[in-house]
Amino acid sequence: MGLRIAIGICCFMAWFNVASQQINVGSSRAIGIVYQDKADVFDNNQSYNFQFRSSFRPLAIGMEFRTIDWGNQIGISLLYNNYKTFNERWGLQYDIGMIHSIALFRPGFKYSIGLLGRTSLAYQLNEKHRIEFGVALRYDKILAYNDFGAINQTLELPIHLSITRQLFPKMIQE
Amino acid sequence: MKTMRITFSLLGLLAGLLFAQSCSYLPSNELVGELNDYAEDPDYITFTSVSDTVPNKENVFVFFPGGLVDPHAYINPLSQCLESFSRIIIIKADANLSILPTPNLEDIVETFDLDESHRIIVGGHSLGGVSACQLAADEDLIAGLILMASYPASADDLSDFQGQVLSITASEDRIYDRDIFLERQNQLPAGISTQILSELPTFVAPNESVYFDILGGNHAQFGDYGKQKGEEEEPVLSADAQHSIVAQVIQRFKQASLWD
Repeated sequence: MGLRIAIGICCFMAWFNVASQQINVGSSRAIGIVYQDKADVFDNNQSYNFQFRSSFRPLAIGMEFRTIDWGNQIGISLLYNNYKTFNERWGLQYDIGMIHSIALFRPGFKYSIGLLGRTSLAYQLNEKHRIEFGVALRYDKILAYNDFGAINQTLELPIHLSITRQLFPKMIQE
Repeated sequence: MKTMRITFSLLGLLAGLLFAQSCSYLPSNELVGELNDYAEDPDYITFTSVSDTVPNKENVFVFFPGGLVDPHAYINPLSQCLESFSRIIIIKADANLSILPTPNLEDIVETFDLDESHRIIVGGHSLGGVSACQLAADEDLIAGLILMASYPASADDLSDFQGQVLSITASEDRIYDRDIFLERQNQLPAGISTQILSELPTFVAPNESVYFDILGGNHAQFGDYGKQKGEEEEPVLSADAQHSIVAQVIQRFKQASLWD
């Protein structure tokens, strides 16, 4: 199973590396605000993500690894994203979309779905790189975990830090 | 570009292998029987004894699950220990790895409103036992330590620990390192070893250890999550039988430690 996951991720990265113009690598720390039906503030762990963005269409496809109340999961994010520039240095990046994940359990993985809306302030470091810092609102649900635990959905406020690398700066300028 | 593509592909491969090592074992059986005051939040799972006989001090057992094991996989086995404890608190760790930051004793005391009328005993299975040892080494409030197939980390010297220590192992355990286990006994209070229930001591003083080895038991059956990778053989003892022996050993140890 591990080898199949590794091959799948490898193919995914190789294909999108060809098809995309920007790569974004980041991490976020989520503050949970609701679990099940109970409002509470709780620490809901870390996520690491890797995103490929198209410079010509407002689309991004990414991968993430995160820890969440029920364990660890890896997901594929499908996001509508856009970037508005304020001036030559500063801009605003926003993303909204879905994350399809598999919660990493033995003996079998469980499907989990997430909805994410995120906005980030972006600072252009140079022609190729910019850093982004922002907040998001995220909802996750894992139906199959009903049989094991009482918590199978969370609503969180992740704080996000990432760096974006422009792969083809000359093409964009043209 | 070619170099970058290769780099990302290798990173992907590495990430995939890493992710595949992050899978947690789910409980293999549904909850047997009803639990009193069962509650779950993002940090804890807790339930209490239904017994009417409340001892002078209520024994609270704070339990750290094994690494990459879903904490719910310990509910069935620990529910059999409710004759020894009035409340059981299972810690839910980040990524199901209790070596990552978990609630400290202050948080636990505050959350469950524990005071002098409670006797706090900490314990854990496998990697969880390492965390329990860390907590016991740092805190004076802890009255006892119960380890299941576990031992302290090299940095935690508990030889002066002022509570009683029970260390339970299983003879068919293929996961934990027996040599390190024997070596780390120096870091726990001196004690006796046995494989027979009736040979358990009738009195255990503070700063003493008792080692009990379950004949025919294995590593995974300290929890309730089926077979563990690396331990594929059918165990001699059934999971139910191992849970029952663990509960009996803990019950006798509690009496011998005068935790009534």
